[in-house]
Amino acid sequence: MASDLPPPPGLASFRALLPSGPVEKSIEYLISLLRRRQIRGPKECALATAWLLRKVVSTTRASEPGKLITRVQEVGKKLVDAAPRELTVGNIVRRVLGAIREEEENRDNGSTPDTTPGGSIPPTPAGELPAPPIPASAMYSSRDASHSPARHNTGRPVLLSQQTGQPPLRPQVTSMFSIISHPTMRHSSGVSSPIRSGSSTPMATSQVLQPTTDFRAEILEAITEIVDELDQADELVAGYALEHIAPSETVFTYSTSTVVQRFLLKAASKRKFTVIQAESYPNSHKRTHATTMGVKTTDDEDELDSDAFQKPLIAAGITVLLIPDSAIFALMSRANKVIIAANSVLSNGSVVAAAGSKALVKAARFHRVPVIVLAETYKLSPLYPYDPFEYVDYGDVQKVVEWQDREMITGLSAVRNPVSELVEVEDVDLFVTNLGGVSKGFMYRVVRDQYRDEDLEL
Amino acid sequence: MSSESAPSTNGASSTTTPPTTSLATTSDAAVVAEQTSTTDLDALAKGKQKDKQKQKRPEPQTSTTAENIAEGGAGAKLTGAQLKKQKQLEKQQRRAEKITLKGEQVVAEQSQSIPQAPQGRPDGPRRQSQSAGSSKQKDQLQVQLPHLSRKGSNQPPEPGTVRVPFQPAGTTQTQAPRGIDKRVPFVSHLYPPSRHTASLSNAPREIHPSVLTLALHLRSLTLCGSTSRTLALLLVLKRVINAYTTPPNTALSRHLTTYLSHQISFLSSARPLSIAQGNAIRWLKKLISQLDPDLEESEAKKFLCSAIDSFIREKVTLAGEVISTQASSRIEQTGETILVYGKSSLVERTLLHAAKDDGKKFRVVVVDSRPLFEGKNLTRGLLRAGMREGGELDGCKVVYTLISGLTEVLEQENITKCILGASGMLGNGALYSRCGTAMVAMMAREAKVPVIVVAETLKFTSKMAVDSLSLNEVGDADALVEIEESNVFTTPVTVSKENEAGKKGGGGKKKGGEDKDDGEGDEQNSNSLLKDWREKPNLFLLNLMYDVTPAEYLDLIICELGTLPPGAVPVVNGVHGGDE
Amino acid sequence: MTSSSPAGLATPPPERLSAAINPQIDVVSHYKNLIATDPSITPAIAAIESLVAALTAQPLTTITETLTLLSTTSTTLLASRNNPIPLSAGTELLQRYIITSFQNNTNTTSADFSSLRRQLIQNSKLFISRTKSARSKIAQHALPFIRDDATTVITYGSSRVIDAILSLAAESRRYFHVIFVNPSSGQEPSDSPFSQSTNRLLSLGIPVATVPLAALSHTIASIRPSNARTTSSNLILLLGAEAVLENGAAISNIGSRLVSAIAHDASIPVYFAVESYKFTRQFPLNYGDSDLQKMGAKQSVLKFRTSLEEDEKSEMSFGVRAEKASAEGDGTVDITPPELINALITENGTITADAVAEELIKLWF
Repeated sequence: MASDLPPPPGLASFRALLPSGPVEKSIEYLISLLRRRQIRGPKECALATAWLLRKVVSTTRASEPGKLITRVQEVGKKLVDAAPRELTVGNIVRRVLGAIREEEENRDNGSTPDTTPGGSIPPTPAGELPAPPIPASAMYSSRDASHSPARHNTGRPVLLSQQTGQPPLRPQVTSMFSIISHPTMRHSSGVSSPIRSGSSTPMATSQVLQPTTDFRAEILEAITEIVDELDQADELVAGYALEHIAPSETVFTYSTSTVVQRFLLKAASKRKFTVIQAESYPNSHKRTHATTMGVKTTDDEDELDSDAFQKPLIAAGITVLLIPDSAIFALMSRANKVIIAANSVLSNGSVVAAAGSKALVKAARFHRVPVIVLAETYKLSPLYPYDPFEYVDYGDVQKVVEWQDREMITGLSAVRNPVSELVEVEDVDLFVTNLGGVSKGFMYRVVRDQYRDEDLEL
Repeated sequence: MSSESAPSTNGASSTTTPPTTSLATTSDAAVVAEQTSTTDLDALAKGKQKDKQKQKRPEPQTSTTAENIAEGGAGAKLTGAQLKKQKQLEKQQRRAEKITLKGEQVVAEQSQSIPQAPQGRPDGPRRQSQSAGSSKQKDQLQVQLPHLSRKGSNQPPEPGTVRVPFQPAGTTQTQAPRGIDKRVPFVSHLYPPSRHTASLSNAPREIHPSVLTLALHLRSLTLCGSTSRTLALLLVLKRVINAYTTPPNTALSRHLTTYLSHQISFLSSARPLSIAQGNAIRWLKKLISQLDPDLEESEAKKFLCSAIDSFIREKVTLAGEVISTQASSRIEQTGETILVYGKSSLVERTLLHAAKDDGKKFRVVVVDSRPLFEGKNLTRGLLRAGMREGGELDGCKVVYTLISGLTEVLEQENITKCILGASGMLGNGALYSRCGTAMVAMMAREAKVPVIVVAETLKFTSKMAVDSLSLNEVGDADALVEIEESNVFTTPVTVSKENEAGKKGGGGKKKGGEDKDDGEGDEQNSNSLLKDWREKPNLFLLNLMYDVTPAEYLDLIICELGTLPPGAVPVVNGVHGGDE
Repeated sequence: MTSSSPAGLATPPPERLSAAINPQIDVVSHYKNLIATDPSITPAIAAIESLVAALTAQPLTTITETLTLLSTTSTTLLASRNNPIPLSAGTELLQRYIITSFQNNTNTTSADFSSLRRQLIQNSKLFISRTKSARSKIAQHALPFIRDDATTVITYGSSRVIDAILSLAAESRRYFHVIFVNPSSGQEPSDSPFSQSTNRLLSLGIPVATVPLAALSHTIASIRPSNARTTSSNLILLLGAEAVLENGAAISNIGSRLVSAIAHDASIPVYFAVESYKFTRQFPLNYGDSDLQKMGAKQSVLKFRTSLEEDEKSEMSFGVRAEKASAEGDGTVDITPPELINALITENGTITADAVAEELIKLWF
């Protein structure tokens, strides 16, 4: 796409507008883009959200992080409402909030006297205990927290809950509950770098900072790290490819995505194997074909797409067998592994993936073929799938029945074209994230480690 | 004779043919009538053809069975990919009608008209033979054969790539390089021995013209669907038998079998025989071999023809009726949502029986898949029968989706039953059917939806398979290259009807954000994405025709003998089955 | 603090210590009294309260004394029950808490000890009060599972937390159906907790059905096809548990495993609503009587007999025994293996069975 043409509404146009326009306008624009599905896809939405929040943070005049948190929450809520099925929007908002909170805590730690003298038990006046840190295992629902009266109940102690912005560094044994929470858990989620990869400012450095430091600079840096992570995540995931693909294997994959493509290419650099590629008609078969053939689709005006353009597997010497979706079951018997990409992974490990994935995974289950799901950490969402249909997204019906086919269009009571669907965790064998392989039983922990407990509900 | 002219899908050929005393008409009128009604259902798939049929009906015996079947078959195969083709057909039809007006001249003019309108070609030779009459048939055949074979040599070796019979010679030449077959290693056993033998250029002389025609249609998938293929085969064999004369010093019962074997092996080189076809042939050969050697030739032929007729009546027509009635009784009066996949003439009959004859109100969810899109034909058939708003069968609703939407419809549409057609019922209780059926059955079972299979015992076989690749057929890989030319005529106005799509508005030539963000190419580009796949090293396209649904996904099988569990398939084979 | 090694704590303390100090009060009767007077109390909480009461009543001056008393009383209390597993979750938690407190205050002099002890007891009491509020938190977390599109909740056995969930859902004006699975095929007496919750739901306008356990499979099959539109899209099994083991297995009223297996077979999600203080560090390798016995439960469901008389001798049939015992909060139980459990709804949120091990590790180390 020639650069002098105004880009059509989408990620590129949003990016172009972002530096110049006023922040409110940018917010409104992104909301409208999300609402009209002109930006869609996990990575695209995540990037757009991160860019916008960077701008929001840099333009908000806030003397203290608390105000910034309110502001980001406010914007984040709007974005999430605009694209409720693009879970990465909420994920990024939570990550940014987490970064701000960390900054806030660092400030608090720096400014207030050290309240953690080892060995003494501070008296707890009137039996009221300071709210202890949460045992970081909660997978709060996003929906029903508002129902929770206990949350801000002042009368009685809040059980295992934490008020927003509560400093997490606490004397270890002030209450019974401290033993419930792992003493190092709080810290580890901030410090241990693999878990929160680029997203968090390392505690060690930030503690050195004086409270006078402009906290926003730190936060902006954290957001930049998030953006970097978004760009690098799929390459990191691909880094584990050789651990999972052995020579002469047959790998079954469905639809197409940058992360799977990179993963397979990485393995192809060292090993020879066969790929069975199901095309995922009608929503992404063209892209699948293009990826397989190694041709560009003509409308790669989004730079993301051109980023995503890679040499095809066949050029790397990999035998690729392209099949229609109907042959998935028939050919599954020849596969050794199924590798698919997730659009999102939910808190219990359930996967939101391209429509048809569930049938694919069930076919794999029937043939006892292990299923590996590739998911970058920004795709991990703390939501719990109370209702699987909340995660079904629909596409253009025209891809199923053309409009000029009047007989069908007028006669049919419905034409269905789901784009995504929920795959239950039971049928997944392994996740590979940019942090490495994660067993399905442990996914809940990795998901939770991405976010602060306070931000589970936006 | 007209019966064989029909398979050229356009229906025009039948009108060009004046009513002749075709060999098919020797069959008793009852069978023909029954057949007509059977195949009506198939023909419903293509409304225009239905109209045609109505026109013809007043003339007794004009619309012979095979014709209808072929039309049905043609209708069945008519996929969205061929909407454009359809237009051509219509044009051709109009032209053909003109020709009809001219009457007998046509025959004389044919040598001219063929080169002018290559699409009309396959009809040409047959018109000659028909007008020439059966006594001259053999001579005619020899005249035609070079003609046919020349045409055949021009065709791309892969069936189904294009509508073979209509392919202008000029364009076929360019496709010749595609002939190098890229075979997927682990299904190499499923490819036909050699594509080149399937072409008609080397058709042996003794091949009967009607067999040639049938071969063409089988090859190009203009005739597909297990039942239609079997019916067409039987009717063609009947004609072959009628045209047969025992050579001197040989016994009919011995020589005819060999003679038929040649014809059949030619057919099977065009497309592997279906299970039902195989069963029918086995039955016929056995019948011939048991003929009294002292029987007069004409008597023997008469006997065989009437045997074929009653076989059709018993094994197909009546069986279909029994099965559809039984299956329909499994549908509740109200509140049901039936999941079906692709197109099966029996399933369609069942649904129509339930809606029309039993007055049941239900929803049908049609799941479809690339590359054949047979479900669209089923859908059209149901819609035309009135299963739409304001239609005769209003109260029955049809929902259409593709196989990727399977999970979604199973859960969101609250499917209560799944009815599947069969190409074969294997001895181990597994279902051999259109590729994709296994997934549909599996997901239905997953959703605790009962899975019902409707299949005539003609389709029962003692063959067994535990996976889908031991017994299968590889279709033309180039069929996957053709992507529907969607949206060509789409105007922004129609787009805006779509709730979200409408908001996108000003994308100029872009259809809208959805397409773009999916990274899908422009319409022109997308069509040719896979065009050069044969030139790409390491890339294979595989178009499997069938798959095997494990017995554990099937709840019950309805055949004309009653309702069986999958485990009882061998029982049917032993007692009754087509494998006799 | 040699005794603070985790291995030593997981098992009842050595005998020699138990002889040293005799508790001032009878923990067992205290426990029974608590259970009898407070219908909403759970065995684990009652056990903790009994232990705290014992600590309070005894004038102790050293850490060792305190710990010994704790061990002795715990052992006594646990030994008095047929099914001590739910109690042990509570007693272990308290012991662990007190040990950790001491560990972190090893430099405390004897002069500080009495204040430390007072502090400890005070906090323990607070702990109890908080723990009690766990139930309402669970109800909050369970609410999204009861969707407003006519969910059908199947439940089995009497569980206070399930009652709390259903009441909250009904009060939140969600419209749903409840199927109570009755362990016996006969009519429930009107004063059983079972029919109490039925009455409460009925008064809130919630349609309730009661089916015998024997009819559960059939019931599920009947719901499925006919009125699919209203119910099948959201049919859930919601159970309470007495304890949750380290692998995520749930100990619950006998029959729970059967009900879960039936639901699992019908693709109905199985959720256990359970307070996280009921998590206990026990890891069964199998799910039978002998495994329960290893955890201290005196339960023997399988008894062969060779004549009719033997049955008479055992006085009560199994069913009668079970019902009587369950009234005392000491009923026959079974273990539902984690693979049948879709999620545990705790006051900390909804967690998978796999997450129990992590919770426990956090609790102990």
